[in-house]
Amino acid sequence: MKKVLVSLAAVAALSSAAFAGVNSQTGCGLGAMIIKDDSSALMLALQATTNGTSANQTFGITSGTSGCKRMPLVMNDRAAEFVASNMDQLAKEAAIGGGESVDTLAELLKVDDKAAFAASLQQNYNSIYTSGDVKMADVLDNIATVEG
Amino acid sequence: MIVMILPYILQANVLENALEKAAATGVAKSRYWHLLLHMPSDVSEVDDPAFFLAPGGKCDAEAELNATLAALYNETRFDDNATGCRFPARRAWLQETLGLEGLPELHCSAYETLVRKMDPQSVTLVFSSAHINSPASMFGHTFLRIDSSYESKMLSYAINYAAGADPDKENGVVFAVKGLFGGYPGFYSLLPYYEKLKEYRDTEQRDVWEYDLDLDHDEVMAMIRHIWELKGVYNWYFFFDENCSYNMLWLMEIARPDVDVRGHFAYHIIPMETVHATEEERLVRAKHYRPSKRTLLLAYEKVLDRRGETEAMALADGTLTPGTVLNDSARDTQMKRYTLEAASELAEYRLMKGAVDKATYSERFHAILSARASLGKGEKLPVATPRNPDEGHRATRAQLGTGWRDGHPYQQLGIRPAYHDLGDSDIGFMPGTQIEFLDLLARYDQDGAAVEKATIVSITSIAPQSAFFKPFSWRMHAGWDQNFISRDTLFSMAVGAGVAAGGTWGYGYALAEPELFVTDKGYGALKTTLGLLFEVGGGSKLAAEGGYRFYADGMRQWTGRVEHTSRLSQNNALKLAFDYTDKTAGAQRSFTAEFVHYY
Repeated sequence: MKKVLVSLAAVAALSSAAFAGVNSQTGCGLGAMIIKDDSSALMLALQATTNGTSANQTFGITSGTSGCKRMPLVMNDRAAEFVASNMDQLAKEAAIGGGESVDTLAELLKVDDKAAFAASLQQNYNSIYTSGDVKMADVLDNIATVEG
Repeated sequence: MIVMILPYILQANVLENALEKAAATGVAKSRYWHLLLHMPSDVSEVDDPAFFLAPGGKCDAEAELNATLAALYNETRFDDNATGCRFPARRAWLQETLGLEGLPELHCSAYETLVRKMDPQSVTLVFSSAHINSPASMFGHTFLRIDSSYESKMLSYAINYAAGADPDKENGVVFAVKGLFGGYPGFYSLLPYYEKLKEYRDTEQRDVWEYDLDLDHDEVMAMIRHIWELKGVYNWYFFFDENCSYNMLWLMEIARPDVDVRGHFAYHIIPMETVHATEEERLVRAKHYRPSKRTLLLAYEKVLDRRGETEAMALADGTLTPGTVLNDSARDTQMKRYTLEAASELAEYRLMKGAVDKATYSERFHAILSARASLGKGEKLPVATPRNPDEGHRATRAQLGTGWRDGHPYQQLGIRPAYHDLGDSDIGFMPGTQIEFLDLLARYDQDGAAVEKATIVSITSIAPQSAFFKPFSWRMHAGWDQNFISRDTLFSMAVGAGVAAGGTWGYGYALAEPELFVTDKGYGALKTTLGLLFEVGGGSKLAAEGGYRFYADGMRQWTGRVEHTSRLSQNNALKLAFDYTDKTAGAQRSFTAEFVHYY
């Protein structure tokens, strides 16, 4: 059983995560994905009969950024939450040159020209995702710098 | 003094009036009040006492209505703790229906914050289909998505109903059994849609289908007010009926009371069936598809050549550096792009499987993407949209057939409440998956009527291996059948595993299956099986399976079956089958022609 340590702060903000057979973690960096346990054949047979959830189910209207570094720039919370929760997906789409998550971020940052935004993320990829342990706040910060 | 008491007298009066009016108009008997209380007839399905204001409210709609009116007029707190703030749907509906006057002013800041943040505009029913290798997930999962004014659907919120149990902490069998029989409390939850996509689409690798509902803003708001009332409220979770899908139906009816989606169901509720019911009620206005991570990787396999596949895996494993791929002057740029893209997906997949630690992954993932970004915008990966699950056959199957066994004619009749087997058309289903409950087949021949087969449960997962995925295939069944070497219908159990390969043409598989036959003394056997299944177009298929059974006492037995299924329409098919089975009395051959109907 590999358990991902979920920071208490993130839990407080997340307040809810519903994962059938998985552990969730909203981190601030890359790799905040889920680690699954290898299931036995028996588990496979029975998996997903019941939709289980490993946390107290409440109404989490924020997905949480507490536990992440404060952003030097004033950004909207929604964008911060979104980026923290979708770091890997955004990185992939930035590298490819566009996608739904990049469009979503453009909308949250009130960028009008989504195509130009996507192209700019791709061109400036290395100045936005500066390293493997880059964090949400830096990514948003770097985007703000690039988009100037 | 009079001035002090006056408000209370007035309050008592308006309450009195409201109670009288409620009694006179009989609103407690109305459909909508029963919807608000989740009462199909006289008893609410909500098990949480916190949901009721009257002592016997669970079983008494009228008492609950009167208690609600009294509480609404006699609020002692006017903030989030007020009855009216906890039950905004009841308050709004009663106010409108009974023309309530003089309700106290409330400040429901928590609820208002939620509504502001959600910005509810429209609703979508979301269905996640089967997870490879887990036929139990074939029933799928449904939840509702509340869409906002944002163009991006990722910023919508998902309303989900699930059992409050941690499958990681529970023994698998216990988890399944308790889930089946109401051993867990079920709760509604609200989460950003992107979190649900990460869960179903990415982690569990299930394709996601969206059905936009034709509900207007007022109807959506009615739903939201009621969702708030369900916050933290539990019902006991029953896998077969009071499950994730069923609890979404209440919400749809709350939004639009003149549709009766629950009326489509008698005793068990299969998530995809709720989509069918919703479409029959003409609630669906548009449909969308989101491929799972696995579907994406399979699409990359299609565009990559053998070398690209090998390189993508090596990149993900860290045995090849992205620079090597970039600097390969002999290689086509688009192929490099696809290779790096697939590698990033694979690296993430390895992380999810726990095959790599987070730090290693982050560096590798970053290096791959950095290389990919340097190659500029390329072609978009083509991902074919599979047939929509709503085009699949319905859950219940009835079959009527005739045939000859060893020259003697017979008729047969079969019924199967759920759900799908390898012989049924794959349109709308994941090929190679089978899950059946209570499949019953009766035959009438020269000896009279007899039970040919009575399956309790049978599950099959034929999962073809590919460049990126190496799943094993497996099969299990428990029930009465004619497989034994004697001519009796015997109870048998088997769990076997093996491998499969496949493509758009179909698939082939090899399995080894230890079996147990329950006779007066019990027989152990090992069956080795080879199977081939060809998709012959239009959802029709041709399947052949041969088996050789080694009995523990030294007996040997060949079995074989060839079956052709012609899909006539979504819910009708014609089956032709030939069976061969070695019996102690000699070889037994039978030929069957059957009409199959799903409903």
